[in-house]
Amino acid sequence: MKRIGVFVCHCGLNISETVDVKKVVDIISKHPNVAYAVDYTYMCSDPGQEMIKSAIKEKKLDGVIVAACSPTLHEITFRNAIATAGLNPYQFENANIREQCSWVHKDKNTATDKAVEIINSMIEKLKLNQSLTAINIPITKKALVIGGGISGMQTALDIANSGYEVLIVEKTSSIGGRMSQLSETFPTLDCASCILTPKTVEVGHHPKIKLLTYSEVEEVEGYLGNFKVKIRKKAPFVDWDKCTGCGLCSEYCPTKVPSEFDRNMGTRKAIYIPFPQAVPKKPVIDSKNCIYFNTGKCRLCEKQCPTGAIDYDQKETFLKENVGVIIVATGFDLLSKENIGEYGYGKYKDVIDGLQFERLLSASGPTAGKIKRPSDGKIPKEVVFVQCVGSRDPEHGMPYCSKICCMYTAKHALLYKHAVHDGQAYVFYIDIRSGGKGYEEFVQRAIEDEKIVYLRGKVSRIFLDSGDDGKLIVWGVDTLAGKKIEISADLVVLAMAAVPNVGVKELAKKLKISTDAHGFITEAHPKLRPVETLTAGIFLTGCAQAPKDIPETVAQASGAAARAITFLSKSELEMDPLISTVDEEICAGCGVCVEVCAYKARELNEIKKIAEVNEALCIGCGACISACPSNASIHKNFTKEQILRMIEEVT
Amino acid sequence: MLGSLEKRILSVLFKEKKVTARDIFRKLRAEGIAITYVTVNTVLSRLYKRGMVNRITEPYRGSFRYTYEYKDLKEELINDLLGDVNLLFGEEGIDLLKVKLDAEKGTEKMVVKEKNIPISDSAPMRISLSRNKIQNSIIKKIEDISGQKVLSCYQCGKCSAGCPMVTLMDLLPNQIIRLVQLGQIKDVTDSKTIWLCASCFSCTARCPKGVDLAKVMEALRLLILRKSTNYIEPSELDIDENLPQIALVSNLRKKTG
Amino acid sequence: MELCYYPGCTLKTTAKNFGIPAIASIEKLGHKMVELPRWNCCGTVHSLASDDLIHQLAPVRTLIRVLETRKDKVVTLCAMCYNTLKQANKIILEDTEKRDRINNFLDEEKNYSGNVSVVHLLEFLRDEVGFDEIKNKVKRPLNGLKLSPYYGCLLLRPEGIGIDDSEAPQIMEDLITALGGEAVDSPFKSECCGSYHTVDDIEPVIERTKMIIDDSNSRGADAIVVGCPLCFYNLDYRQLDTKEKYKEFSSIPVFYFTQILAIALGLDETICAFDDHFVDPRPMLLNKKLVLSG
Repeated sequence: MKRIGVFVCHCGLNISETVDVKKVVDIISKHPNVAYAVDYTYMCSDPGQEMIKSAIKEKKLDGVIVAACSPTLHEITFRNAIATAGLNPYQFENANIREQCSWVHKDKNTATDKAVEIINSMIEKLKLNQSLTAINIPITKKALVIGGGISGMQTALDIANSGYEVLIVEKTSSIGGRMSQLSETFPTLDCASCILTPKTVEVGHHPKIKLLTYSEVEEVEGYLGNFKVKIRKKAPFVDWDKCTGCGLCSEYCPTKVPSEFDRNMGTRKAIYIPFPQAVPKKPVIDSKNCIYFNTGKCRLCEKQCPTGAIDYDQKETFLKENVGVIIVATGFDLLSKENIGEYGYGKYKDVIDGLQFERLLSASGPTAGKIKRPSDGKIPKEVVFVQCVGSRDPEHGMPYCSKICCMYTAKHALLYKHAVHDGQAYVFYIDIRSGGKGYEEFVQRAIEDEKIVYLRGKVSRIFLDSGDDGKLIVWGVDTLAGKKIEISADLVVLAMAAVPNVGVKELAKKLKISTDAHGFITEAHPKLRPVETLTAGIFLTGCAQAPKDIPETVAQASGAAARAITFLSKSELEMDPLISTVDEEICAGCGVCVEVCAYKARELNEIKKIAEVNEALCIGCGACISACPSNASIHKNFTKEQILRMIEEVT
Repeated sequence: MLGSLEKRILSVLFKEKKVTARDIFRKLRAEGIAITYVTVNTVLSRLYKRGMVNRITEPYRGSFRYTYEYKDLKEELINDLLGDVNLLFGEEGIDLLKVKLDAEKGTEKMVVKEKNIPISDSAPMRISLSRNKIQNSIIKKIEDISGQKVLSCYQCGKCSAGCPMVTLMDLLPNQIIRLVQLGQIKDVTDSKTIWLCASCFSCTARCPKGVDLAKVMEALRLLILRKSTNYIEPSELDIDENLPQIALVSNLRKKTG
Repeated sequence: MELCYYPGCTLKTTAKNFGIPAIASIEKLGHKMVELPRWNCCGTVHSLASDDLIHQLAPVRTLIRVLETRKDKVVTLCAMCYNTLKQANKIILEDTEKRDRINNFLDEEKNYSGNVSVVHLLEFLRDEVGFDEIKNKVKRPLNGLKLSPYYGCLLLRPEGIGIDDSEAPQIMEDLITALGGEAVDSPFKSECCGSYHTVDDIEPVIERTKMIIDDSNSRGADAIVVGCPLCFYNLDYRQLDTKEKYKEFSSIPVFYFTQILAIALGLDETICAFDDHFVDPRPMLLNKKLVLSG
């Protein structure tokens, strides 16, 4: 005879306002299987939990029902509570008399009756519950970080310094990410390379970090603690083990093409190292533009290479790795100016975006840090900066705010003034978002000290003037003075919207994580779980989640590392035992469950000729239960018998 | 009798006594009246032909120009007025006229008070806000007529930046919708801006929030026009024979009730 | 093919020199523009009030007339008619409540549910004739005549109604190139000419005319090409008023695109009625050997 304890929660007024809890306790205590029934204001609180624990001991309970809110909220709390009191945690049921009763009904009588019925049905289920134990699976103590920018590197360093192996997979041939393209960072105006290079070097030399650059994630299978990852290593056509990074190959290469690293503001060779501080400092051959790959001639790089590292026949390779956790740090890109018709569809040479301006400012950039007009190389004296291009634009662009543009535009205008003392900078803005530490002071400094003119209004059109000097006419407005503003500009810098990097949607599909409508990866909870995804074991950090600046990125990276380490530091993982199982006597080995399972958790045992459950992969969705034609597939503690009894009880 | 434009022009002459057509044109413009120089010139010529103004020819810049002089027509005009009243309404009319004159003696103006349009504060640079100003039925009416939600506008100013007529306006297009958001309807309906709008749709095409400002401007014009008030008088238009019909019809559609 | 042609009021009177070259050119290209019987005025502007439907009746009636000719397409020349008819059509297609109310009101007419498509002649030339085909039929190539296309507003906006991209339209440029001319790009080709203000308040029109023409002149254009009778009036006739205000203003001849099409196809230039222009284009055309007499 079961001795069940029923604890009816008031949930403040949430339940007790509509359900007569005292009456419920009264009726339930008369049930033959109920050894103890009581009500309390907040069962989830400490005193509430203590109440359950004492009752288990004193009344010798072998089952507990808490009639309260939805199990998604506190089921785990209560299970842990009864476990500490010595009772098997799966001899617990949560009767939902809030979301499914008090919150959806108004009449007290009907609500109370329904609450009693719900509890009765849970009693029927609990009577047939088995005592189960959690499944333990081993964890691979290795992390995969996808993306080698500042957030990926920070996460990798934190995990590696805690003693675990880390594998970084980076799409381009060097780590460093967007920060390596920047000139200086706000608000300190630190040189970006100077603060980044120590980190890239540390990552490059770290004994626990394995760098796989010029590689991409091809396939991912498995689950938290046991991910099986297939990685594609693209062929750079250079043997990086032999290569010393001397750079002779690039010097002699005759082909020049626009440089992606310089955002098309400068050129690179067909064989190239993307930037001087690259880690690893090894070149790749761009086979699309290489003369040898197109015509079979040239081979100058091969002739010049002192170590014979050039290998035109190199093939891409695949390697498989087992990891315990995955962190996605794929970063961001800028929306292309080719989308904006009123600013020229990207065809005006002197209308550039923020990253292109960074390359102009950068000492290692295409103009060696001199600000020059891309069209004729002259120094621009009238520079217009336009904020919110493609951002905050639900009609023609992205509806969200890209967060960093107000700050980097102020930085750009300030650095421009430092470089060109007699030049004038204008910034067209709608609002100034400068909420970080020292940010507001930085913007005010730009305005007051550098005499940068901030005009409140959007720019309606930019077009080329008819004269020979190639000036750009900018039509804007200052809503504060109430006048239309016309500026004849030498250079226009657009703060384009920040968007996720190319290829992230496909990667998310491979990882089985979700993205929002714009391609940013969805976090588990926007407020309380910002570094995890809803897929256990996969974390995210940096601009892959949403646009943000460097301090926030680094903080989030360490946060993701900490969360990952909570799993990596365990010797084993506990998995929920409420999964499916096979009744070996009945199972005929037909294989329907294997086909139906979306998690690849079912397999046919060839010898025994029956189906088997991979307990680590099964998440208890129930598809195999309904598919099995012979009722051999059973869901632990959710058997058909239990469910039928629950239904009988309420009808 | 006299048309409203003729009256306006004569009133300027009454004040200035001796003035050129260009001067009158500038004065009327300064008062916020949308009028062309051509029209002023034409009306003055007609008034001269009817003998209601004196005209002198003066040498000017190698050629000549006309200067107009005030002609005292009090006696004649008032006689005409009385004659009309008598003709239309007889003794009753004259009696009523006497009553009105006695009653209004001492008051400065004899004007019809405007109804239904909330009056903004008497100090033009100050707005005093309240629920009544914001939860205004006129704002709702403007939203109904235009089909737009005025609060969607976040005042970025892109409409004003690209508007072809903005350089001649008194309020910017974005200020118009801002004032509507704040319930300051009289400022808007008194402005030149809504009449200078050419319905070119540049604002609509570029607005990042998808607000169709051309429709809001039309709704504001309709607030006045639907009261059977004309912004321009068709009878006072100087029509060139080459003017395409579409110009005339669309102009009248937009500016008359 | 036979095209159902909706002229509108202006094309039949003050803008004859827009319509007649069009009809003749289309015939030369092997098609026929047949005037829609019993057509009525479209109303000139699309009523921007969302709460009244009375102003949609005139354009809808016109579209019903088109259906009666058993054609599913109507071709227009006047940009205002094009815009008004197309916007009314859009309402019928997208708003079922308004469509039903209009149909109920027009109970003496057949029900209309948006099955006529409204096409501007430029679109017809681009999509159904093809500019390559036109190039083949050119008898008197324009000898590199520098033409600055001017679209105005109603051919390009609002989005979904325009015949081409409103920020960077190309359709008239492509036509000019096919006819042997050189298209001169001006950033003001899509900027409003002042439109109907020309009737009672020419100040803004003078400013716009000056801005548009000064720019085309500074880019070396020989003439401006338009596709709307009101733009034509503002850019041609109003040059007189512009000159009065701005003594240093340089004039420039203005053409309808159908006139240059007719000339290039080798038609007699008298159908273009250049007499009616304020700025006579014939001296310039004679200079370029494109007409027989000045």
